[in-house]
Amino acid sequence: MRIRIFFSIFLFLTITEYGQSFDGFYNIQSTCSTHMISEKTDENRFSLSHTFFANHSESFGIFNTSINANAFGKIKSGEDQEADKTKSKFESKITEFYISMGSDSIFFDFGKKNIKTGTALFKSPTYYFDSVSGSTWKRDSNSEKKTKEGTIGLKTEWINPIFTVSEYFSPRITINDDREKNIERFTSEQDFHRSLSSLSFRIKDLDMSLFFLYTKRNHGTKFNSGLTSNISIGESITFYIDASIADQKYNYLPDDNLYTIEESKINKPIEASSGMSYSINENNTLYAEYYYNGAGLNKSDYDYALDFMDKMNSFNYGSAALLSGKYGLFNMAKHYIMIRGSFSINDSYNFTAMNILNLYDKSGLFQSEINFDGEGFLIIFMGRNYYGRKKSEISFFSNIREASAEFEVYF
Amino acid sequence: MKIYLSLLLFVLSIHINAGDGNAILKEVDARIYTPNMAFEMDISAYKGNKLRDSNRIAGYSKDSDRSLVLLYFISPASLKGRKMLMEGNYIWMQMPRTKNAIRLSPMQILLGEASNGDVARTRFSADYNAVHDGNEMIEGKKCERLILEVKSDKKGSTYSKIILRIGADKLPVYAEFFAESGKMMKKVFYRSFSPFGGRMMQKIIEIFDAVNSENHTIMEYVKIGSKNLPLSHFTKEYLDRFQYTSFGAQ
Repeated sequence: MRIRIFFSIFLFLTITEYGQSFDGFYNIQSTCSTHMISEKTDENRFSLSHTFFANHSESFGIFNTSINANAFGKIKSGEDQEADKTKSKFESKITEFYISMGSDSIFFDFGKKNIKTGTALFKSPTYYFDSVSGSTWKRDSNSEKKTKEGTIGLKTEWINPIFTVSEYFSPRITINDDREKNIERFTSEQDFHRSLSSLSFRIKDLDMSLFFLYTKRNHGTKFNSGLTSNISIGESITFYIDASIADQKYNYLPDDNLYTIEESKINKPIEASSGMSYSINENNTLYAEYYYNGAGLNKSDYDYALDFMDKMNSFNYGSAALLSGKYGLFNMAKHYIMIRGSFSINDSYNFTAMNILNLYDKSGLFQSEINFDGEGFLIIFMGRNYYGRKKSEISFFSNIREASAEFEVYF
Repeated sequence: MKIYLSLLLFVLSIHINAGDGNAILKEVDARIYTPNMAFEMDISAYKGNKLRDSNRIAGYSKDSDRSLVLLYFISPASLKGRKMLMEGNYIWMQMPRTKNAIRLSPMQILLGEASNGDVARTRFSADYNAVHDGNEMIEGKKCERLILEVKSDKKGSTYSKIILRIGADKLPVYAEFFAESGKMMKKVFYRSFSPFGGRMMQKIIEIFDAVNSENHTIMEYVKIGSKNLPLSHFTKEYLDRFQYTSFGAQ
């Protein structure tokens, strides 16, 4: 609550004192969506929301050192109408607030900041700090602004023309009283200590980055190591690969070592995404991506798990949908592909289509979007539809059939 | 004997022309190349007389044989804050409020007919060998004609051949750019020169698509200044930290 009040004051001061130098955008969105509660029932949900995003950077000097303060936040209000119930919601959030300082090549960031590694559009196994919500696959810059929240920590970076070394440490912080305890999430809530180290360099045309992530949770530790790389070939083609191997250990009795499973002795799951983009011309681009999830279930376990989740859903209203909300995609299968195309119809209209396919059960989501880019504003119509068999991991998402209209104005 | 002599003279004339051409090209670069520059520029793309797209971008160029440029989009509002690093044919872009630079193919830079080389104002002599090829009238002005062929170690360059016309003042007037296939890709007019930092600076560059002449782009410098940023700032990792600060116009 205190944070919300602080943010409202901050935003008010920003608007009144620095009205000339802050920027952002205002978004109004109306959405109609369907989600499955159990195998037999569908529920419709209508929502209308107004969101005001603001961004501000300010530079100042202390002891001959230039410091840059950055803040990004949002205020959102709206209504959800679901099964004859109307729920009002209000949210105000500082998604980022950090200061940066440094010399020509050594830099420090301290505060709440989005940290991101990897290139893949659909699912990068390197999205540890900033997982993308399953409800937002637009993959444009604004969709990230709308959904992502930073992690509090300290980043140290050494950038030179040959290579870059960086270290980000985020401590465990549990100051938010209304947060559910004992649930470990993959989003930016800081229920665990994390350290991300990376080394980035270039070999001829190839961009490479090696990274090492150590996570210490209540119930164990996890060590990920991996790489991201990309290369452009000629005028039109770019290839990319993100890959990671996990080594984890779980203590099933917290604060006690009576019963410990060292998963590293069982397996070390590999996750990898590889993809390519092909620019047909300067306005039209195609993307194709394959995602391998080494931690995914084998096919018979997958079907069993779906049965179990479906039963859970019928007992407990929307439990699977709740899970999908927390973890984004379930990614219970091992193999997925994604194809996306963005096309310019004329100078003002753009069309984007995206298809995500689970190769286990051939179910998937198709999403298309048409937008009108005016002078300083954007109108977006989006539609998403689920296809394939009735019971699939994707059918448990909270928004498998959705249509929305959005208006955005920039300032 | 006569044949050998003619052949020798022919080879010598090519060598002398190439020598002349390279010397003239270096003279052109010496007149116009401005190292370590800060600028603001309007890029307007037209289809016929209709304005298709208009951007104001700011940037810094770095004196290097790698054609290094950092760009920041000032307008339109929907693109404001977009940042780009160009290193020859390698291009990375970072959207506002995202943290990772994405790699683009040269075709995706979306600056109308303008290529990164146009924005970077690369030195012709760094990438091309020149041969003097006589004189020609361009827009009523007598020009020398140079044929530029890309150097063997710069084969990845966007254009493999340029035919450049330069005025008596050794400033470029007009150029035609060719792809490796031999196809002409664009025609460029250099206009409105004015002195800056001891060099001459073309304030307006007009670029026509050679295939569809209706499409053309005008690049106009609205502010020019000097700024020598460290080499470490011209890396994709620095893009997230790059913040543009407006400067006084010259």
